[in-house]
Amino acid sequence: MRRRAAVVIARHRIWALLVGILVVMAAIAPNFATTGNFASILRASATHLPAAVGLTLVMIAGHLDLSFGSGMSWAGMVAIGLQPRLGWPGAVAVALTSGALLGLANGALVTRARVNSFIATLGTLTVVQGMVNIASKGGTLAVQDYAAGDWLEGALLGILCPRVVLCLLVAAAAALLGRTRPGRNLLLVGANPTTAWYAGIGTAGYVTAAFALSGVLAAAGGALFAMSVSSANPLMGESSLMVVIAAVIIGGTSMQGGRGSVVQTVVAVVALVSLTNGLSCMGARPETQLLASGFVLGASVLYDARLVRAVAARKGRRPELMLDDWPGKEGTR
Amino acid sequence: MPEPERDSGPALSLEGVSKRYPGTLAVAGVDFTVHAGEICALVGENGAGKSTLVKIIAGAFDDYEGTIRINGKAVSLHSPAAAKSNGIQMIHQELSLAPPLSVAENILAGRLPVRAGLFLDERAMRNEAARWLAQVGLDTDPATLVADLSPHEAQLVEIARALGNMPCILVLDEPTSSLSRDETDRLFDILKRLRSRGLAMVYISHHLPDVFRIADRVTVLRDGRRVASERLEAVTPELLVNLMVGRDVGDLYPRRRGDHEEVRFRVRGATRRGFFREVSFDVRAGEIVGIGGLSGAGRTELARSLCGIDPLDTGSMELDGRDVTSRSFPAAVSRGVAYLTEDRKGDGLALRLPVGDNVLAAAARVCGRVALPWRSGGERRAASAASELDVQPPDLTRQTASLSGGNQQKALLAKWLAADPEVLFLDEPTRGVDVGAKVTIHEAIARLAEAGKCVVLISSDLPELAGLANRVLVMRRGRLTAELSGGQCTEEAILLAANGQEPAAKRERERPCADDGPTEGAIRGPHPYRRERPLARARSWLVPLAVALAIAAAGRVASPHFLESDNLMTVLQAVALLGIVACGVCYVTYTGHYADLSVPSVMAFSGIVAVSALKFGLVAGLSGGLAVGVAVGLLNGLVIGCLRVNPIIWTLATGAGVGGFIRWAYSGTQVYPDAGQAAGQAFLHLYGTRVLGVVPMSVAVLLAMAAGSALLMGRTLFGYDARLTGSSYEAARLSGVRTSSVTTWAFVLSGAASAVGGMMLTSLNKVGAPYIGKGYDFLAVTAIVLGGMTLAGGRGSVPGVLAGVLIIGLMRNVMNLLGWGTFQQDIAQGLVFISVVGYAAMLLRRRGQDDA
Repeated sequence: MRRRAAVVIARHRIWALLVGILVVMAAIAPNFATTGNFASILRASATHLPAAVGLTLVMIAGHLDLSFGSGMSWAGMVAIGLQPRLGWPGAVAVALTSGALLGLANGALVTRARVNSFIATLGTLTVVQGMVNIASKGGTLAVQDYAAGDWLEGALLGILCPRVVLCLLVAAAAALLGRTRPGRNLLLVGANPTTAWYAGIGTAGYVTAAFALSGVLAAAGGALFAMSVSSANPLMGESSLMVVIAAVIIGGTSMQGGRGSVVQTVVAVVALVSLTNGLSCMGARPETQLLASGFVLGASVLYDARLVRAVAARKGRRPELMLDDWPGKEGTR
Repeated sequence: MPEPERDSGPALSLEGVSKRYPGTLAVAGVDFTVHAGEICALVGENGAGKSTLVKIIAGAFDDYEGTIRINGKAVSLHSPAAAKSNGIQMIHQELSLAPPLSVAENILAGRLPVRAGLFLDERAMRNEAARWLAQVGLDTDPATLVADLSPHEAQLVEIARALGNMPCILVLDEPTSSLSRDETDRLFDILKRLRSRGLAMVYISHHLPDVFRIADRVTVLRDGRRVASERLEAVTPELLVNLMVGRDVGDLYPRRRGDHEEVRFRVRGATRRGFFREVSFDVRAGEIVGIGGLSGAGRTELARSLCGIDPLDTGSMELDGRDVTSRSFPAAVSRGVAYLTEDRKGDGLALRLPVGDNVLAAAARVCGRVALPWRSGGERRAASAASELDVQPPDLTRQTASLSGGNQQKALLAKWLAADPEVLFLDEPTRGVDVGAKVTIHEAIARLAEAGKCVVLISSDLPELAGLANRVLVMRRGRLTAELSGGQCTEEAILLAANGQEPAAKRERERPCADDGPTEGAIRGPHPYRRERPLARARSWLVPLAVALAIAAAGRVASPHFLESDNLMTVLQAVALLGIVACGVCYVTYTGHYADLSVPSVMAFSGIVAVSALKFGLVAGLSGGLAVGVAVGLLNGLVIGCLRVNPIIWTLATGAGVGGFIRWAYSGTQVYPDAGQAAGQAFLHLYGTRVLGVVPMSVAVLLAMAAGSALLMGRTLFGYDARLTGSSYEAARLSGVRTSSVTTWAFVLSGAASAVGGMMLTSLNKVGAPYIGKGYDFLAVTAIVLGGMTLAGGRGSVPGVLAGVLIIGLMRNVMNLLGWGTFQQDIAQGLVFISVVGYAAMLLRRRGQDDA
């Protein structure tokens, strides 16, 4: 019974981490616990959220997607670049479509050409970043239409703004996926593709769909962010890379596939962003964001390793052989 | 789903079914029928085509020839979904469940109940799962994760899943190979019940006693053809074996000597909490001691702990009077105690490597210290061990995965024969092995004992235990409960002791099995020969080199200046730094750890530290920079090697940590070498210096490092161990390789190379800054993969890496000459990379070898 409780706590440790960070920062960082600051935490989280959700889906399917950073930047470029000609709806539609195309390309490489997803998305990352750099002509693109950005960042309900709400809705939809049949099938595909295949599930289709969704979600995040600041920076997606990957891993999604939770990824994103926000409230420079993310990721991974070893050590033991007296026992326990 | 019809024709009938693999005909014109309410056994040696035939039935192939009929109607089974809709379900030999998911989800895989067409109906799921669990007699909460079940319970879940699909035809592939007696009995009860309900079953097994217990008819396959199909009453085990092998089979168990001399090997008080308690026994020279017991009795755990693979809480071992208690497997092997694993595919053999590498895997540490084991007579040792066991085909350069099960097992035994241990623990040495191979293995074991070694034989095959061992110890629930020798040592006695009953109890005599009964002349059966195109023997770097030359040719066409020495030197210089880094980083990929993402930060940090330390002199500066790389590499290697953390994630974390640290510590300022001092001057000119007046320093360093790295990888024991570790971490570990140590060194090399590259880059830029080295992590992986190394590890070479680096350099140069912008070049490079990698992957797949 106690072991069951320990397992449950370990699985939901991300909530404990979030609470811990919030409490500590509220205590030691000036101006941390204000509504204005919480609003900006949520805004900063919303930037990374869609890409993090997409990466969670891909990892559940048992693969890795490194191209989401450049996918975000590209979508931002497209949205800003095409806005004068197509208006916001059109520009965003094109941005999302290009994200889907990137995802489909990744999916085809992984399922048809059977290329390792690390390598495949490394290749597409290079290509798309090149496209981003060309489109930006080395600088930042900007638009004159600030209305959309103002609206997206405007107040809605206290600390929420429309962009945050949109991103949270997207995350909620993805989380609900876990309760549907396609969602559970995706988990099975990631956990054991052979089982899924013999059960008649189209594994290639599910993997490609996961990559396509990841592409669309990253594009959505990038486009929304670009709209909100009314400009597109070619390096935007790159700064997300570390936070997003760290959040997905810290949130408990396994790189081997078959295990993961969108909700926990969201919590992890908010936790990491709160950490860096708190640090900057304390006067630390932006560089600390990198240091903090890396540190938390490393600690989380080490903790997981300890957990795995503890479980493995206990596995297979017979209870009756544990209780008896045995020589040398005095030293342990 | 078609209804089972009892008295009309067969439920399943195959007519003239064939299946080709590239280069071989696995199944040729087989006719096969099963009726409803009948269990038809399918027997044959390894490679006879049994697994292929049932895979055809399960819908795994879309390109078989011939006709398949279900209840008389012709169907096409071109996908698992088609098989499923025709009422066919298969229980695989290797359990195919999803461990992270719950029992219920596994049982209902592919047919989860939903409400409103989309959302999971959790309650219905639980109820239906419970229903099927009751059918198979498993009392578990459906929400339990499969990962927490025992192998026997997991198999029951797999059966529940198959039953839940309401099949008319059930195929079972070696279902009892890892079951104990009790568990087998329970499985047979289930099968008998299903049979009475009209299910048609196909049962594949090597274990003839089981076949005689449960089957109604038996079909024999040999070399892909059907040779016989009879009712079981009409055959005897000897006849079946004759049909399987094609000729008479002799004594399966060589005559064993009864008298033995002094005790060589003593185990006293071995205990591991939760697994076994107070186990003590002796082994005499030339004696084979068997250890029998039910599965879960603790036999494998005992052997693994005694050999240092798993921890041992208390206990001691003595060999010839010396204490050989070991805390690690390499230590045990060096003291002459070895262990042959029961899982040949998982941790016994590195399937992607050639047979010769596997056979040498344990002996390498015994024969060679630093120099390559092949040079110091290792090749001869491997060849003689392999031929002693008659491993077929005799070509040691064939990929191990292409061998049949029996030959793989013989290769595994050959590995330990070549290492020549004094004490050998054998764990299920003939599991899933055909009759012919079994004979060979038994003879080899007997010869081992005759030579005076101590052999401990763990086996669940009662006739094997009784026939081969001089004495049999029986374990039950973690304790040694009985010792049987001489006349007492019969199958029944072992079985009774394993179940905790007295041998005096009368039990019904079992049917005799094929292993009884002598006939004259032991003859080895034929070994199935699977003709496959041999692994590319050509050096793996020839292809990337050819690509590089092709690009060079294109460059010559593009511009007459291309082949001028100035231009070529530019190319070399441009990629020299990448090459320097890649020479070390490639070890991370080679040992199967994918990539080192901390490279850019290490490069920057080394440069900064080097510049800062210049005030103590040039040597101090360079050593300081190198030390940084080594230190980070050591941290990476120790954590990844000992704690088995995911390398991508961990190096990402350390990269971010180091990168963040230098940005924070140096608060955005840059560190300049002091041009006024001698050391500073020397450092600033480091990059620009020309060795021998001609060769740029960076190229010279690259050549030196490449030479060293290639020597290390290709000619030393470390390089060999690295290849083993990369091909199969577990198999390397269980061959005595210190895999954590190999991993650590791989990352140290990566860190050191990054440090050298970083310092040279800093010298080039004339400033130490945090952004130095940006992009080198991914670029290095690109070069390494282009050069022929696969992310899965165990393949590739340093010349290949250099070729990959050259490809990038030449590409860039050609594009520069064509006047393309940097960003266009990035895109082109990415596209070329994708094309090359995609093409290579498809090539490999066509050859039947999957990677990563």
